[in-house]
Amino acid sequence: MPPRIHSSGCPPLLLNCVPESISSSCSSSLAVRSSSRPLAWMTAQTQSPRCANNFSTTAPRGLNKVQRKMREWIKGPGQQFAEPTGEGKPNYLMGSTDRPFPINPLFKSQPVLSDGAREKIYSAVMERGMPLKAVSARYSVDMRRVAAVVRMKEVERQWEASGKPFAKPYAKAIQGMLPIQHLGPDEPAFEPINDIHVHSYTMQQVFQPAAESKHFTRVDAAKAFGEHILPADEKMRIPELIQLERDLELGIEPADANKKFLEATRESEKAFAATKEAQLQREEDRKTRVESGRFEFRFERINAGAVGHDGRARGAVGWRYGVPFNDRKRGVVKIPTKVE
Amino acid sequence: MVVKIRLARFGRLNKPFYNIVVAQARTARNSRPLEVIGTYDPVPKPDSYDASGKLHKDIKLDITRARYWVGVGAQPTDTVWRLLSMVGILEPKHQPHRTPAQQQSTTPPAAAPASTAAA
Amino acid sequence: MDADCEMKLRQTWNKYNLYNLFAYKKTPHIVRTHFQQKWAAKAATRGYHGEHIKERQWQHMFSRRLLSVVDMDPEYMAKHDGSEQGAGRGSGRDWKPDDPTTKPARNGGSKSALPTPYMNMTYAPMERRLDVAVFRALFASSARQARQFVVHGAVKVNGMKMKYPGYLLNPGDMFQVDPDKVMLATGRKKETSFAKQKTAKSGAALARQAKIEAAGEGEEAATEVDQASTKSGEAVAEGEALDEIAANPGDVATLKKLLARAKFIADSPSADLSAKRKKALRTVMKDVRELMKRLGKASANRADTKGNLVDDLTAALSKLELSPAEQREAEQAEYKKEAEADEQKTLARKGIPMLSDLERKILEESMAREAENPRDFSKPYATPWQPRRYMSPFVFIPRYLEVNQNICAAVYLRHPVARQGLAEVPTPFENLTNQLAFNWYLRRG
Repeated sequence: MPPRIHSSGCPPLLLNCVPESISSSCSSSLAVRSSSRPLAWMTAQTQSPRCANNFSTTAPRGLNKVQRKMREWIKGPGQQFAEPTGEGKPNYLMGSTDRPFPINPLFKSQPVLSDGAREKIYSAVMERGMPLKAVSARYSVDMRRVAAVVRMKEVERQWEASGKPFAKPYAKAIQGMLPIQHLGPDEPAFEPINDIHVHSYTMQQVFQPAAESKHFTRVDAAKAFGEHILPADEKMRIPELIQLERDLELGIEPADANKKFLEATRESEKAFAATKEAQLQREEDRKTRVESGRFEFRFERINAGAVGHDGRARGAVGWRYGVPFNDRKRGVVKIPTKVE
Repeated sequence: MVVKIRLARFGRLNKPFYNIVVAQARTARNSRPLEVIGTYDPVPKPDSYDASGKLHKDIKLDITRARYWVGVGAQPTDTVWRLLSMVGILEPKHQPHRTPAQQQSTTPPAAAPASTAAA
Repeated sequence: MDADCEMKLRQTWNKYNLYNLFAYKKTPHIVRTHFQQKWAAKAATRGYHGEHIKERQWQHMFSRRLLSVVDMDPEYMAKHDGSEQGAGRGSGRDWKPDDPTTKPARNGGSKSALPTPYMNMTYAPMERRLDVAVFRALFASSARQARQFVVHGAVKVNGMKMKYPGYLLNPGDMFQVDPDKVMLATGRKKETSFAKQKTAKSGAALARQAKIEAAGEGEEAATEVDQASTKSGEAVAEGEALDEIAANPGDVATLKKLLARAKFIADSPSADLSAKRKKALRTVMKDVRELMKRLGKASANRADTKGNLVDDLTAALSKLELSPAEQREAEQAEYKKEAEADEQKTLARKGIPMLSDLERKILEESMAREAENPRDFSKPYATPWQPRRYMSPFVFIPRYLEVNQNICAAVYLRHPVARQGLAEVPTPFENLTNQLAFNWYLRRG
């Protein structure tokens, strides 16, 4: 440790609680004494006064080239990034509107739904009772996003009802810094709604001999890639849209075709809901709920006989005997993998 | 030798988990039993999005086998008795807040699951 | 070595990180072996993607299956069944640029066929982690802070507390972060300036400080004090000769402050001031008034006794000070009272017919804003809340998340995917760097 001299700059008693005026006077006196140092260092010193330097006889370490450049940038052109633009626009580097990372043009900051858009989606689903698929197709918003918007709006309503305060200032600030998109007839499509996953089996070229006369369709192509590979038509998230296009092609009135589409989506949603309902009902039927004073006991009926020929079947009930238990082995995930 | 219906503790430290087993009374707790008829997770859990703070416990049980073993004279331990009495396989041993009249009235619901199980 | 190569990009909204993002150069064309290039790429990318996660853990998470999607156009699907792709192949039926009828139909209409940047998806599994997702949803200012939020129990997944930052979100999982934590992470720091503390402190501290200052340092100390006396000047002359005191209005001011402080303590709404404490307070107030009266008369009392008296009084008062909790409560009540008074004033002003509709509207709006973003001393961040500095260049929300800022909740819709000309993993590195990193992990994948 270098020798430290108690100079007359600051009385030692006040070191721990230097008022701003004193400390700034310290640093200014320091700046006068060390006027031979580069300018960037001095400005840095006045910004974050460190009184302790005043008592050391060793010369303070200067900044290297990179650090100096950084300080110059932060104090100079970097200042425009300190505060949001205030015009409801993003404030990315290089003045870009959609590229937060200057050297990666392949990542884009895509717009998010505006508050009004979320409200629109919520009212379409919850108040007008439109099927999710129809809402998704109408606003060109992914079905999963529609569901998520409704789910979170619902939580929002609950908060409102219970008087829990929102993070309103935060929400407003964030919305002012993000690219925002509204939903309306004049707006461009928000996102593609009929994405299909590219199966790894379909990523390779397959040599499939076929007669020249063969009408080789998408269904045949899917079979050629693998027995279980579904054709694109079945992987579509909203296959009813294809039917809608076909109807329009056949010359059916757009209004009628739309009505048919709405009906079809409603039917498919009903069918989906029915299967879910049936599944839940089946699970519930296997259960008996008994209320004790403190807890509810849920008895699930099982079949104790399903233990396999050696009593070690995987799906058998309970902790198995004579089978090593791998839950603490290396590489096994030891934290929850799902929350229901 | 006496056959018992009892709990065998598995799980980990501070994380109990029980197999409900049918075993010879003199065998070790965690040795291979005659039959595993269910499991009992004694750690109470809340439901997601349930703000009421109500907790539940999960039990899996083969009611048919339990009824069979009770029928052939297997002796449940107190804890197992309590569990089996909840689904109506046995009469509750201990009901502190009930008058004898009330206790008699509990018999019909106790019989109800039995009839469904038999069917 | 080039200094730019040393630059580390991190998942944080720090201004230094912002500069690094700004100054980061593409991988320089230096002659290096393939291994060296891969190593450098891995080091750089891992510094950004999950820098707080152990390498072995990431190696377990790494997957060579890169997800991508293709947008299918229903109109194309309705018109074609796919057979047109193979029709006439090999029998000379090719696309002739001058004959539009020979143009093969393509999914997606007129979209130009951009390549799918698979290699930018190298770190897609990392985006599934709960802490990274919390950071991406703009609920924390760095991935490490997000991790801390999770560990400290401020994050819920599907309504259940989730304390594992390494929890891998499943599509459809909703996570919520405590709004207070979010506001703390994204807001300005609370001001803990010395001046503020000083005003909050009692006159006791003032007197103590003045005593130290006047204790008689050298000439230089005196000049220091002179410079410093702009703020605390009133208390400087304590302990000097009587005449000076009597003439000095600063001493009277100190006494006045004492009196105000005592009143404040006595009026504080935390009603459990004990009778003993109340009585002591009253005595102090009485003594102070007495002293002020005497000072006003400037009677011929001796200086030191007076100085001692002030000190005694301040000491007595400091014993009666409010506890920090009581202090906060009192301040809140004070503020509320002020706000109410303000409101009443504005209401009174409303009654004035000269106020135009526009002005009234503006007034109401500003009042609503105030109610929404109130001053609240109990919060750990500066109030009224403001976004932290240097935050805006980092603000984006990737498409695989849907965020509701009002309730600080987000849904992980699906895994990030690559599509034509776009990769959804937010990475600051160029395609080549990502590719080299991917190749590094393929070796052990």
